[in-house]
Amino acid sequence: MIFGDWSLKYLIRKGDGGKKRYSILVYFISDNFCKQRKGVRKMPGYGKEDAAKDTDTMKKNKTLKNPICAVLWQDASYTFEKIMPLKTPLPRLTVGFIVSTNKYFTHIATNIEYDEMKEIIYPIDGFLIPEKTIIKFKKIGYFKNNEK
Amino acid sequence: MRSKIKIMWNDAVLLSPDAKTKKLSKMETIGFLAAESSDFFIISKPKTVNIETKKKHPKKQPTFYFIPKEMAERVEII
Repeated sequence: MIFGDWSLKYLIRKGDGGKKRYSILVYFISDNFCKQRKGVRKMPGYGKEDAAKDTDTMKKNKTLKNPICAVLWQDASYTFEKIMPLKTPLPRLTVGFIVSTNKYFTHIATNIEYDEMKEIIYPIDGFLIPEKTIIKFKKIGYFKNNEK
Repeated sequence: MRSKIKIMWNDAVLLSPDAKTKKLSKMETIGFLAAESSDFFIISKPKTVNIETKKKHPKKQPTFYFIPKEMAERVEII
């Protein structure tokens, strides 16, 4: 819900002395206090760090595989509509090669020069995605089907 | 009464071959807190500038700005 995303919590307390009286306390707590900031999430299995290690942009290692990866993340957004939209912006899905990753951002190359013979990529255009906004990371596969 | 706030936040960057450094854009948005969801600050009448380049983003002022809470670095009531 967009207009103050409130969580409704109920507390039911029993009255004293067997009077069978119940009081219900209803209070609102802002989601700010209910939820912890997500922060940098550790994801099990094949992660961004692994993908960055497997991506060869410098001809350093012939065994590197250059995995194609997808990153689901939440970007900022704006609107020129006069009335406030009832829905918040949807996450972005960006697909490419993970060039590098650190605690601040993940660099994903979406447009590359690709040397098919040597299996090396040269990043041209891409995104720096703030690390805290990343919701999900997934390795999709490889450009060449013979690698797993 | 809606409170006027200032949010410092890190924006994603579209990297081009001309980019000299790899770092996130530091942005500053000033406006009225219209609503707050679990994931977003929703700012009305926002004025957003890139702190380093001092350029407005976008050039034309939008009516509402949605800033993910994960991007926010500092929030001040002004």
